Amino acid sequence: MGIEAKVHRRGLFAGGGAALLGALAVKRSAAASTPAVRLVSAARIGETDGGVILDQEGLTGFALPARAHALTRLPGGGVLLVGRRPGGFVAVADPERPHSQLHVFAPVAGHRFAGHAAIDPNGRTLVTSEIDAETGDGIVVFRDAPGGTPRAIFSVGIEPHDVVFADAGARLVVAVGGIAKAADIKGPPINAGNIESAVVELDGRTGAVLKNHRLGAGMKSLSLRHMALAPDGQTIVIGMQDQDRSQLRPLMGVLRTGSNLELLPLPSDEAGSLRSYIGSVSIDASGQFAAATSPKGGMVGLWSLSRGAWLGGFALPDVCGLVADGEPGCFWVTSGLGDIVKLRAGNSGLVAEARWTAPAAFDNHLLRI
Amino acid sequence: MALFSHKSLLILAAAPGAPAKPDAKAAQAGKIALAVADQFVIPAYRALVLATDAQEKAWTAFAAKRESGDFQALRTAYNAAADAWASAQLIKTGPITLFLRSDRFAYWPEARNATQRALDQLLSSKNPKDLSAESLAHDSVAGQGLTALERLLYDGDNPAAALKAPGRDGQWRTQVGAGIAHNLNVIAHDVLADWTAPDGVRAAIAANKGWKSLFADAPEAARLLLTDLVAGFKLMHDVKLLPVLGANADVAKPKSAEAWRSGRSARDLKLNLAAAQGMEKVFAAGAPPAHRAKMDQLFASAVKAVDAMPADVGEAAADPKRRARIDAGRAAIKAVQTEIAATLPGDVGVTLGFNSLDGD
Repeated sequence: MGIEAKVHRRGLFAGGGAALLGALAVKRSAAASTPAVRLVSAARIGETDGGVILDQEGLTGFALPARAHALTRLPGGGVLLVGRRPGGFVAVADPERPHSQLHVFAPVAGHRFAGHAAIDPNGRTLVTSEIDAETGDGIVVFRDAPGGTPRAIFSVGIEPHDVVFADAGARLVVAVGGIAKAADIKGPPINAGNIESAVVELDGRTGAVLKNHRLGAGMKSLSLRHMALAPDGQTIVIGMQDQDRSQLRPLMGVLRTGSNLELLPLPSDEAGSLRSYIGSVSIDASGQFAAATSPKGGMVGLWSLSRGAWLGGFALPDVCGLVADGEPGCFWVTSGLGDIVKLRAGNSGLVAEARWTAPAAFDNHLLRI
Repeated sequence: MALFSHKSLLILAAAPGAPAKPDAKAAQAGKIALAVADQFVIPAYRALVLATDAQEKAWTAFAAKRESGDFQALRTAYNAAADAWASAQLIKTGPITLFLRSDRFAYWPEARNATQRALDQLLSSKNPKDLSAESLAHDSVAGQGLTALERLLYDGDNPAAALKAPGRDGQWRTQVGAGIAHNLNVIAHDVLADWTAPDGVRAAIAANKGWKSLFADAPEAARLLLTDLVAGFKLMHDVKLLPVLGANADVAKPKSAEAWRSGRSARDLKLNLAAAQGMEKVFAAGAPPAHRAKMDQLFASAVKAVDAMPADVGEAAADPKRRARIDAGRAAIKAVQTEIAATLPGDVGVTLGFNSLDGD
């Protein structure tokens, strides 16, 4: 277990004539020396922010206008990368030709991207979450896919973050972070102790609000931020961040569309080990397991979705990128320190099945294509 | 648009063996965390408590004979408290993060004129309940700290007259100032107590144990404190200077400078830098002499450059003739930041994160 390989960089992101650099010097270890998967992430290499594709050929970097946050796969095979909040761009990359010209579009006037986008299952509507640069008020923008031309705008509250289509596109679910601040000012939230976070279910076609889920009393410092959809198309797991660490509060929720928001327990072994902060969430291919990463805790957490129970954690410093593998019970995680780990879930927690390192700081989110 | 657009390749190799002596490194990091607590953090908070105590007393004395009160004493006390805060501002680890204390102590940089709006609300409520600790703990963070107090002492045509105004208006305005001064003193005392109590942060670090859910052991505390030091440079560079400078003098934003009303913008930076150097010296005590020498040299250059900045950082950034002096300070601060991030984590024996630095 825990087979390690190191992914070296050769001319990655380099300028000038650093094109193909001869044969790959692959030192075989007991396992495959490259991961048998295709992952895409935003990453920092050296001092430069871009995107990376990690697959059996190794790591390939491509340029982006600035630091990106989350990724969305388009039906045509393109990968959409959204600028990190306050984001000024969405870039659509072609993973087959990552160095070809990117298609780029901007947020609506006076706004910044919140870092996330979603595509409806028909591939016709692209949704971006955006924030008013001055007020922090939030909108979701329905855009033509894949070009990105805005078609309709809906207000959803203060600071929307992640967006997910559910129920075969009939519902758009929005995590409204609720943290009020001007998008471009790196200051504290205005409403830090009394934030208005929610998960809002909208009609996926009309944008009409169908349901608004809020947290209970005593949870006004929690921000609902990241979501992942289960294979059933209806179950969504939600990760939170707590603005106040004077006490421990729940960090994970489960929503079955049309029903009520339920909370998952904190780790039973060490309740504070997620450090009041979830960076990414995922549900495995079987729909049995929910996982979440905490870069501040250096911890991947695992819950049983059917039982709503904590199963165990896996320690990995600065872990944040997280995505389900195609194989039931398996996840991929990446860290800001260059780790790439395949994890297998079980009733007693997570174990590493294979592990690599690369000279890249993998950013917040991971996509498997 | 493409910053780098050339095809690249990867080479895969077997992973290196386990890092050498992780336990020894962790033990060293834990010792350094305790030294940072004893030699930097706790002294900074002791000084803060002295200053906020004196400030609360100054407001109490002023309120007792308001119409003939010593307004200048309030400004002197405010500046002493702001000095002490600038020397402790970069500490983000520990009790200052609980109950949003850091934001409540000094809400900055502010958005949407939030401080003025929160202060106006407080000034118009005239309800003493709004000044209770319980109320302030849940109210807007913007209207209860140094940033709000600065407005009471420096904003308007005649802030002294507004406080001394006869009748309910002046009386309540003074009560609000005294309430904020009291609030700051309570926060400072609570933070110091949480560090120094028998079950406080210092004791936890000394025993290599966790404190609340903030850290699990002394090496994690070392990592968090070193992250604070690096983030302190980002505060100086990315938050206090870059947005003020803008791309050129025409688009500089003088009023994005910290504490421009009280003319403290450059002074706060000087004190931040001095505090950062004080913290760095503790971290680097066991570092190779060559590393320490290089750091000392970069700090000396930065101190010189920041000392040479005009006091009115914001106005100077918008003045083509004086702007270069602000930018020189910015560049010198950045040079220290780059060196610290490159060498100090390895010397201390910790690894700084990427995703854990600034979440989203």
